[in-house]
Formats: sequence, C-alpha cells, structure tokens
Amino acid sequence: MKTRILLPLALLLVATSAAQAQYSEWYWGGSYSTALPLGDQKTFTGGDGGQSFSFRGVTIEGRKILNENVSAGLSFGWHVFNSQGDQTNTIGDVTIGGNQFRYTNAFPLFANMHYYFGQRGAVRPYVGANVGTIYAERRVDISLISLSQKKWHLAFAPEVGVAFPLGWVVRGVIAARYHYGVKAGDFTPQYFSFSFGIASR
Amino acid sequence: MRKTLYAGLFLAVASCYPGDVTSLGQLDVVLSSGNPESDYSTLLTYAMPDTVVQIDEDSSNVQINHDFDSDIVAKAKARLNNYGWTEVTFPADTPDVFVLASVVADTYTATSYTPGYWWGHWGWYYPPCYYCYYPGYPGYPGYPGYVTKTKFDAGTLFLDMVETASFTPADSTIRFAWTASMAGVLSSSSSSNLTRALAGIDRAFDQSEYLKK
Repeated sequence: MKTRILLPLALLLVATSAAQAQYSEWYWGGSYSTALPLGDQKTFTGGDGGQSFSFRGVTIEGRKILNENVSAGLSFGWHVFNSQGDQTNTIGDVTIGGNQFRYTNAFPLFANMHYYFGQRGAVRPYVGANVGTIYAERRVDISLISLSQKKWHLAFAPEVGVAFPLGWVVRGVIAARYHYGVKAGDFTPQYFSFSFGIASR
Repeated sequence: MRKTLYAGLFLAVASCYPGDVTSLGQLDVVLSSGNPESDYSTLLTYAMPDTVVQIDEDSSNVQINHDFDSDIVAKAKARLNNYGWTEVTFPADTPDVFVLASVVADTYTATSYTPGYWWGHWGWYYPPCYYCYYPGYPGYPGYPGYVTKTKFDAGTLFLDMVETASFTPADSTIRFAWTASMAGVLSSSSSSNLTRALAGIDRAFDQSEYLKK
C-alpha cells in the first residue's frame, strides 16, 4: 500500500525537479533602442517640430526562464531626448528669449515578467509587464545658464515583442514598450521605446 | 554576467548631452520685464542720453568700444517711436520716463573635465581551452581623463526705463517701468557684437508689446 503511494509520489517529485532543472536558465542581452516622446516629454524636448524622436538608447536585460512559457527578470535602460531651437518663455513678469538646448536622460529600471507564445526553439511572440522606476534628468541650457532637474518616478511599462532563434543559445529580440512614469515635481515621463537586440544564455 | 552588471551601473551614472554650439549667436539671451505697478497708459514721453555707460569700467578686464553708442541709442529710440512714444528734450521738457542704456562686461574662466576610458578589456585565452591553463593576452588598462580651461569675454547690455514722477527724494528711490537685458559672449569682431546687440534690442521690444501705445 505504502509502495503504491510513495513510488508514484517519488517519481512525481523527480520528474518535477528534472523539469525545473531543465528550465532553470538565464538569458542576458542588450538592445539598441529608439524612442518616441509623448505628453510632457514631447512638450519638453519637442523643439520646433514637436516630436524629437530619439535615436539614442540602449537596454540591457536579464531574464530567467521559469517554465515553458514564463520568464522573470530585470531590465536597465537609457534613453536620450534632445532638442535645440529658439524659444520664448514667460514666467510671471519676466520674459526670456533665446536659443535653448534641452535634454532628457531617462534611465528606466524595471523588474519584469513575460509570457511567451509558441514553442521553444521557434519564433515566439510575447507579452510582458515591467514595474519599477524611471530616473529622469532634465536640463535646459540657455546662453551660459544651465538649469536641471533630477527626479525618480514610479513607473510601469507594458511590453510586446518577439524572440526568434539565431543559434543554439542566441536569440534575436524585437520589442515595443510603453513607458509611463508617475508625476514627480512638474514632469511625467512618458514615451514609447522600440528595441532591436540579441540575448544569449 | 559581471560585464553586464558593470554596463548597467555605467548606464546609471552616465548622461548624454548631444548637440554643439555652432555660433556665438546661439548663446545670446534676452530678458525683459515690465512692472505691474506701472500704468503704461499714462507714460507717453521719454528722454534718452546718447551715451552707453559701462557700469564696471574701473574693475573690468574688458573695455567696451563706445564707437557704437549712437547705433545702440538710435535703435532703442526707433523702437520706442515705433511703439508710439514721443521723444522730448530734457531739461527743456520733463519726460514721463528716462531710458538709460548701460553695459557690463568681463572675462570669465570655465574649467571642464573630460573623463577617461576607465575600464579595460579582459584578456583572452588562445587556443580556447576550458581545462588547460594558458596566460593569454593581457587586458587593456584604459586611459585617464584630462582638464581643460577656457577663457572668454561676456557682456550684458541693459535698457532701463525709470518713471520720473515716481522719484522719492526722502529715500532716493525711483520706480522701474521696464527693464531689458541682452547678454552674450563677446567675439573679437566689434561689428558682430553690435549686430547681435541690435538684434537683442529688437527682441526685447518684441517681447514687450505692453509698451505699445
């Protein structure tokens, strides 16, 4: 009687352990990121054109595969927005005019989870959720004066992407992420990022 | 994994400020300020001296060329006349406001530090071998940063509009109805400096349409 219960239980435990060992692996990768500013970010570094799409960005990420479809990990990013142009601003009774150089350096730091569709080893679309913070450093240079503000923002970033095999342990990754930071001070960081990169075990 | 973590830490402390200043005119700034206590509807006439006074002449390393005082005064008068003000001759007539032109200028020193390439490369093993030892190729140590010092002359042209009727002899105070300052880096060309100063005066009046009659 005991053997009938204990043997299948032992086999189940061994099988579960073997499955966990099979999926206990980390993928580390880096991506080149572009970004489209929105909201306050679009207003701040929009310049005359009102957009100021960013071509300066990078993301470094680590994901631990938990099972066939789920991973959990960490993400570090850096996105740069900048604009330059003649602007006039009025604060109270004072009007200031001149050429302004505006910069935002945004550093999103996230913990995340992703769900993958499809089969291992094939092209796998995925969806994910990122939670963490965005450290935003904004700076305005006008003439010889430089004004800056640095704030931490609680942040969220839903994500969609696709991972595809490039080799036995290397994966290509294409992803889009919507970054939203809770307002701190007078600024709400908000932008889309579009990343292209690779990851490896 | 360690390389990835170091790269992440580097991202956390770095910042990027792309774009360069390509002309001195990009460093010009114009500030203008009205006075909410002034009633511009009652201020109709002005008088203006024909000299631009250098306020810090005795202490400054930069001496302003007064050959262009007449151009600066003429520009300010032209804009005031265009805005409907009437020039009167003092002391024959007492104006509602005096418009005074003045300038400060000095030499500034800026110090900047350019960080070096602070992390080196890891060496590599040849031939690739996990179980044997070969000292391999040594890493690259990187290079230190350096300090740069820059000197430049900068100046500010002021236009101040003071209300003659507001002068209080008891405490020697007078009200400013309007003030404008045009600041920038001075070039070695006086004509270039003059062109930018005149453009600054235009901008100061463009920013102050409440002066229109």
